Amino acid sequence: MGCPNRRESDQADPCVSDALLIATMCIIGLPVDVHVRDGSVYSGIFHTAYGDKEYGVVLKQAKLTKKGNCNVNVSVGSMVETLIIFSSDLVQVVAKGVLHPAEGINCKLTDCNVEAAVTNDSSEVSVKEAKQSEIFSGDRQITEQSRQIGDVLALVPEGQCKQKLGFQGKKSGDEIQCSATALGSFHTEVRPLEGGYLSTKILPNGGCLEPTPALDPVSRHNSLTTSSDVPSPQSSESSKSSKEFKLNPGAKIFCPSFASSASAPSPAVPALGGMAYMPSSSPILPIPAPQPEVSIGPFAPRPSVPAKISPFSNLIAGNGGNNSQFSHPIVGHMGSRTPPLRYAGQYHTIPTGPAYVPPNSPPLMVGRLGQQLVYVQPVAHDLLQSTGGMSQMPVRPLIGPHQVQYPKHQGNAVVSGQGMPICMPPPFVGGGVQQPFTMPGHIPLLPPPIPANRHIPVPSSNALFATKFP
Amino acid sequence: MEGSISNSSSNEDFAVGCMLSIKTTLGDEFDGQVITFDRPSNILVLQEGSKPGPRRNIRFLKTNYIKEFSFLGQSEDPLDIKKCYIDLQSLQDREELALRQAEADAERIGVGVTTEAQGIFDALSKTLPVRWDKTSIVVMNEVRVSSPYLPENVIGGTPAANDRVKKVLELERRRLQTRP
Repeated sequence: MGCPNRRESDQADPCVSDALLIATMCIIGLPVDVHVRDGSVYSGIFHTAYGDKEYGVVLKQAKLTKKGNCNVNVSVGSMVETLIIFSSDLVQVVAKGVLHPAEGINCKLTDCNVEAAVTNDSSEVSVKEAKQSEIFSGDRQITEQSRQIGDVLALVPEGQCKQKLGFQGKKSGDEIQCSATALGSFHTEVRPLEGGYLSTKILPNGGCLEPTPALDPVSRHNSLTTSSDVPSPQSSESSKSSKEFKLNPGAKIFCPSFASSASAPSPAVPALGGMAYMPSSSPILPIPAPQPEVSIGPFAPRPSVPAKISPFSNLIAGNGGNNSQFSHPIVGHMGSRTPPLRYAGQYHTIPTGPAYVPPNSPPLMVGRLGQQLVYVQPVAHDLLQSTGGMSQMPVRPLIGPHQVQYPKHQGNAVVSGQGMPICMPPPFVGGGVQQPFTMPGHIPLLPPPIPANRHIPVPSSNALFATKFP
Repeated sequence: MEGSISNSSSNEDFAVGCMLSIKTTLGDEFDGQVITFDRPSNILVLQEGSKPGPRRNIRFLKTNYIKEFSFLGQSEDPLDIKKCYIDLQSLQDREELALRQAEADAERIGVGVTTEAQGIFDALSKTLPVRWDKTSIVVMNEVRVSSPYLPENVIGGTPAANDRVKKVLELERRRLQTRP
């Protein structure tokens, strides 16, 4: 469907639908209202979405416009530079005044240049000629990365910044590796590349990052969300590494705290939850020739077409800030859409209001108001001691709408939960029917330990719906 | 057709092009046309707005929060993928512009100031270049208006600029007081 080189076994379980991807891309950069399960409404600029088999969103310049029933780590009216709302908290995303992709935005390829057609609303889309050269200068990228790193470091209480986040040495120029499993399904690794720039790579499902240029983006199930999948020579990757860190690793995560009865304890969650996706360096991926469209019968399962994949890869790659990658427009030949004749009359609903309650742990609000914040959930102390690493990342996103705290004693960003169980209940009732997002209780939710010298994976733009931004 | 909360199989999907009237568990009610339904993530993408035109409202709704819905009709697929072209550069530019605008708007918001002070700031900003300096309003980078933002609190700047700010401040305060 949307994944390149999908194996036959994966066709029945596509990672993302083409239409959903297109719709998501159409609202990038638009002001949206995100409704969360406690009734809160956050308004901000839609930046990207993420998730494999889930749908979380990332907003920029987000504000809490309507307070819900639960206490959250965002005050009304305060602006958060980057806000991550997990899929488990998300109710709906409302975008107004969206231009239909087939009506307003047209583009054509002219060698390596792209001309964007003027839309009716020139304030949003302007006629310009995109050059193949990188949009952002290297200096700006360095500053951006340094600022982002600084913001990440500022997320924790003062005096514990670097240690808590597991950064080693200086911000740039030194090896900085961190791992985070904000979404549970991905591990991100921030590595300095040549020239002191940082790059991030997403490791889907806990897989170790293989920083080899031979990575085939179409061979991964989550290839839509990783720019590291794009094959490219390491040199070109490093040369464009200044475009990474599109998302602020210290993005503030929406972490409501529910005051109702506590839910069943769940395993610990990843320590660094809600870390923003870090764009990974990715070279230019040439768009292959358009493939014959695939006729689609049933609505849900759709075989993927290779021609559809590379645009997505470009999209993901561009998230790393390599603007040259986006000199080519995404041609949305997504195949035919045959509307199904059946309706979905059955669906799972949840009662109004929070159905589950996070553990009785006070939210840890780190950082300063107006800056990027990251809230993490308290994790079990013993789980913090385990050798996490990226290979132990759970499949499901372990950090839901709650806060994850980092162990203070370790000087990193993970506050010891002191044995407090982590509860990440999905917002729907289980009526004996297989819920789409039910998290089996037997799945251990092991947060990655984040000692001073450990890697903290940072979710990057390898999410499903990443955009190219420095 | 009217849906209801049930524990039946989850194999059914939302038909693309269907016009639905949906009521969420949070109390929202709206009508929309199904653009797509992503089964793995349970996201239903709806298109609102019956007015003709290229712009419309789009909702990404998680079906878990659908309390009830009713079928209004069937229409063709609103999203013709064959005609969809997305320019990443345009998207990036759009976001850049939106971010700059949002940052500019954020700078206009005073931190730790009263509503009255913010109203005065907004009123002064219509005719004069103003910015916040903590709780003081700095006009034309030379005249400062401190709390409680009365004409006698206008200090600094050249006499001409100072008088001008005082006059504008008096007018704006008078206008704000006459407002309901």
